[in-house]
Amino acid sequence: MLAYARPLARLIGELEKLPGIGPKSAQRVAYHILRMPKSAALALAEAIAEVQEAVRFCSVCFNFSEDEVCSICRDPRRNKTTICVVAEPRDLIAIEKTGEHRGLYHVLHGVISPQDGIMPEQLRIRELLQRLDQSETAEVIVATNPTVEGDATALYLSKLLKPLGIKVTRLAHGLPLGADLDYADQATIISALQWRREM
Amino acid sequence: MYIRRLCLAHFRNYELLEIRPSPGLNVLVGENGHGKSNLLEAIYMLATTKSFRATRDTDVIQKGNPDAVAFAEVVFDDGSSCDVEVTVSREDRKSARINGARADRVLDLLGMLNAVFFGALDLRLINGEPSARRRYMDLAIAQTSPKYGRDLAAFRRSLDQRNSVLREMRDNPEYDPGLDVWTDQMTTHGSAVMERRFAFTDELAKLAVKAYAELSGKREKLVVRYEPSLGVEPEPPLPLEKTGGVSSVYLAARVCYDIELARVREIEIRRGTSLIGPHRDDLRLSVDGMEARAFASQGQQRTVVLSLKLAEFEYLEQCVGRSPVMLLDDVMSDLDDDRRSRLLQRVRGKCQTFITCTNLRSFPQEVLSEATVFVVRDGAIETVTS
Repeated sequence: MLAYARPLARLIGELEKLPGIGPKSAQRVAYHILRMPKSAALALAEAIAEVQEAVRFCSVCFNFSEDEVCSICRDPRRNKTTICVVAEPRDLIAIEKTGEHRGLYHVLHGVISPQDGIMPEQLRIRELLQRLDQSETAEVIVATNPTVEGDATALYLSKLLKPLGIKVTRLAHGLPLGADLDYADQATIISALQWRREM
Repeated sequence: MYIRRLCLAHFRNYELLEIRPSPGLNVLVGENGHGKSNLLEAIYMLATTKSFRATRDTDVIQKGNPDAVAFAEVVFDDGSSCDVEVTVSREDRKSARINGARADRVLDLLGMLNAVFFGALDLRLINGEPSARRRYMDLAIAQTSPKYGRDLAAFRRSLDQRNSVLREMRDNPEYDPGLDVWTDQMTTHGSAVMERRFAFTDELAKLAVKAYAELSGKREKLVVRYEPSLGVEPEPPLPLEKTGGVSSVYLAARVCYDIELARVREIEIRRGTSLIGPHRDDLRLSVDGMEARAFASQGQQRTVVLSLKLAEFEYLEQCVGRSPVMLLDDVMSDLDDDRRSRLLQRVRGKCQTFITCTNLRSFPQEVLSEATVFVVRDGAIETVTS
């Protein structure tokens, strides 16, 4: 650290705390910022400050939102009878990009993992139940990852929701479309074989 | 199948090593502590992703280095070849490469290279804890079925999660953070594990009886039996059409598992841990109706272990349709002349074999004349004679 000017060392230190950024990348990014036009650097700083100030949880679906209720939840064209439950906001983005889901969302902010101290109460499950209580939801699509914890979370939700007369479905898993079979990883092929369909 | 080229970097006491073994018998001779077994350990790790002795994977990394690498060029019977590589690093643990491309998971390595290991520590199979016998089953099955490796990993994960829930419930009796959900996950994956263990021991038992009869001169009968902690009896599997495509053994295991878990539910909560399942299974070994661990004779115990290893060898051969690589770690001195020659007879000309020993006297001259001999001294192969 001796060779760095003190403010530069501070910036590198802050960048290193970010996910996926090691000492080398942090150094590269810091030098880049240093060489940027002042206006661009300030725009970056402002964007960072603003994201903290202006973004909060949507009070309905708990996705990140600029407003009290997010644009998806406010959109009158969305189908109010279907809710897609995801673990993380980035999963919502992935599904939303396809444009195929016209219903609403609910973000749990994690999956159940008792080992890590994450019990159902730590997730936005209570809020989901309240929401279902006050709406005319007919189907809940559970879109958690196909991992042991994702499966357990899906099962937990289905046990909770089915008695309420709500249809609970789960995303299918299988081969990636448009890709070669020999590029798929073993786990995917095994699961695709296991859940094969009659034609 | 055989290994045409083996390379190690910072693996145990090998700084850098490259050898070209023969497709037949390879004898590694050298004094104790010079690195003969480390070579076998590297081959075994390429086959199973696990060490046969290290408790932590990072134990194989040479002191002062960030990672250890083992690489092998494997040649199959049809002449095609495949490069396999495993890297153990202090930071992000283990990774694998297949034909130079980084595998998504280390487990993808399973099934590329098959190997059977037999060493002095394997006596644990008889007088050790049940965990030694489970490990034996798991490593043998995982080599023939990548799905088993994944089912086992998923089972262990759900078991750990479920134990956390049970501990929570023990400490807060009013609270249930979803025990049923984890029970379901554990029985789903656990029953798949049991199904494969049933199928494996069924085959293994037949092969082991034959091997034991041959080695011991047909006087006694070895019985190998899978003992699941549930106490389910294996029934002859029903045809898949009758069960809607799901194995009847799986269904039977699953039903028993659910019933048994319901029975011990209160005890599990009180103790805060999962009491039954594949993590408590055992393999029962008996000779002429007597439990093998009660045997006085070391010789008989060794014959039982050797029979299991030869049976494992034939099981792998049957399942994958090619001969595994045989790794024999310092076993020649422990066997009497008769069993020694029977063992050599079994492997000679059949498969690639690596045998470690401290001196060459235990080998008959005609065997030695067709073997490739590597002299191992202080982490280096000093001379090669063939």
